[in-house]
Amino acid sequence: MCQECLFRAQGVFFLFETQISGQNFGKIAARTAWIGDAVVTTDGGHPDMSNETYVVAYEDSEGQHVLDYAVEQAKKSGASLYIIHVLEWSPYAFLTPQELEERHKRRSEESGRAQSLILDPAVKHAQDAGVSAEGKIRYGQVVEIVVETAKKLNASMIFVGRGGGNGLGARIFGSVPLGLAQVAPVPTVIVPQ
Amino acid sequence: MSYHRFPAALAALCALSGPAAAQSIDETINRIFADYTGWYVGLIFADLPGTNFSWIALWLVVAALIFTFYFGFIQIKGFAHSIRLVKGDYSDPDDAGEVSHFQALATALSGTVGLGNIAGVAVAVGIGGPGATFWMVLAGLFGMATKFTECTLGVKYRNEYPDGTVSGGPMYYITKGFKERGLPGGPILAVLFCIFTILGALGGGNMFQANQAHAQISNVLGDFPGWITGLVIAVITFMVIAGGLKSIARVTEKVVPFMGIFYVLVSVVILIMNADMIAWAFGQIFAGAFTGLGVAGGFTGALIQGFRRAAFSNEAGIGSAAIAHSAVRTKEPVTEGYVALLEPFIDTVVICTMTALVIVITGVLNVDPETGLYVWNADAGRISTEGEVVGVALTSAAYAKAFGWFPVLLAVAVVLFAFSTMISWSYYGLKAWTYLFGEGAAKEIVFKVIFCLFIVIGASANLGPVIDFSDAMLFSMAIVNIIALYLLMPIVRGELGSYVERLRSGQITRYKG
Repeated sequence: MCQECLFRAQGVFFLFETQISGQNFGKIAARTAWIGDAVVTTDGGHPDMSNETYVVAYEDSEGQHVLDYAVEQAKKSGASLYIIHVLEWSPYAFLTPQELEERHKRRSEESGRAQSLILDPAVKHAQDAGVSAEGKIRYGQVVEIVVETAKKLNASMIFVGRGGGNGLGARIFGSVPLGLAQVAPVPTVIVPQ
Repeated sequence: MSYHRFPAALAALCALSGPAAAQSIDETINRIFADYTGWYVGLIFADLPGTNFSWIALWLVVAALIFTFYFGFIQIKGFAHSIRLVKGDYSDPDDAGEVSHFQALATALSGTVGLGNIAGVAVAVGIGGPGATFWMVLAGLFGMATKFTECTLGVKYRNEYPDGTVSGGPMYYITKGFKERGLPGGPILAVLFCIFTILGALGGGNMFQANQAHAQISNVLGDFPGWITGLVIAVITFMVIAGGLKSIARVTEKVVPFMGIFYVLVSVVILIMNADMIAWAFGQIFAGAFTGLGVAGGFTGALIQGFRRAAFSNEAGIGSAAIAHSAVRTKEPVTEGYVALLEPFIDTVVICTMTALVIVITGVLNVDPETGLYVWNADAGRISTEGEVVGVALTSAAYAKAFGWFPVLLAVAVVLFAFSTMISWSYYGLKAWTYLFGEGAAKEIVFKVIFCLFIVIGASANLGPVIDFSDAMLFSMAIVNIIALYLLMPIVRGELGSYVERLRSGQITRYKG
């Protein structure tokens, strides 16, 4: 089995494990068959001729290992990368009147900063490595945005870092990788540091 | 709104505050204000001949009725759409991170929901009987159309500056809207509105709140000088509004809505605990609405109290909500009108009704067992209550019958509501201030310092006439604002017609649901 297929198999295994822990056997069967299809499809194509897109949930330079790993895999399969950096935001958060007034201005400043300091260097890093890459800053809840993007782009894989998955908050409310493991529509790779 | 006018309760509460040493200063200030402004206060709150119903309450209720008919009962026809807008069904995902409809509504509500919903209702039911609730709900339902009108205009005529900040409110729609329609007097009315807003913010939106907060704290902790409470609140407020200490503001903005939700939940639990009484309570409300159930003034008394409470509680027509709502991110001004109409619904129809139901159901209003009618305390001019308490104390007593710990929680809630209302009104006042004197850090800090000084004065002094004058200013805002709404309502109708048409034809995208 080539490395990519092994890697896919690991993705399948991970999801399988998660579903078992959810004790939803009906879902496991459906999910496994679906993932199986995806593996076959991927296996059937030549790595260098892929039209695949990988979605990379990129936090910042501390998550460089996620990007590096995704770049490495993309180079092998010829996939392109779609890097998204999500600024956590809830439309239901409460703001003061002053914050309401300044929100548009602050949003422009925040997204501008994230674009120039985080996203642009990440995209350039991938492009410099010879991988086709683009990126986008999004506002919202990370898991929701990543899933939505993966569906919209018909992406074949998601890459996410494991960071933040061990804290008390993550244990209570769930972390991004665990959330993706539950709802991701495509195989999801959780890259350890 | 946390502001309300109920002299008996106010007098009782104000009596709790104010160190003796400050009495002479208080008296001097009171005398000066009474001498020079008494005539104006009397004019604003004058009763209609032969009634004890102030003409200003009628002004607000009639406006609400006119807008209701003019916009074809928008509060009923558009209610479901309002909910969908708040849920974000029509929000462009690419606009995520901007001010959502929900956020504009929540912020505006934190300035309105407060002491009025807790104490004011007790006064209305205490004087007008359970029937007052019926008229209060009815007036709240009509008030939804007023909010729709003013908040649509607030967004339509807001100023959007090159740096991305926005400013809106009646002063902007008065000047721009009047100009667009070729109407004279716009700039003068806008200036008048701003003067009234600044004075109203310093009084009803500040001194009154500080005074009530101190009264509640001293109720729980024992009597102590009001200036201490005032100084603490003033320092915190100054740090928030001038020092950019956003964390405190955020905490308050988060806690206040939860306090509101918790208040409603506790009310629901009490109603469930007394489920067998609910039908009886509604019977009392409906019967009282038309017969008075022996309460002095009969059904007119109930109507007057109910209408007055609703009109004074939800700020519909005052114009302040239009300032808060104008920051929302939307291409369609009407959408914010739809969202804003939920405000009187939540404030008056839901929260005020909960308070009223709990007061009726828990039996804190004394009933004559022989006649089944409420016992009238002629000396006090209200229904006799257990322990003869009024205002906040009556609400507190009603809830305490179910949960003994509730009065402490209520005291915390009152202080938080007061603080949140102060933050909101400091902003409304500042917007009026900068409209008059121009933008700029130096000009803004002057207003902020004045605002905080008034917190100390409000908490430490017993300034009845000053607060009365400030109340008169708040309702003067409504005079100017509603005149403008009458003149500009055809523009809102045009906006509404176009929006509904595009909604039907599918031109307006629904992103979710």
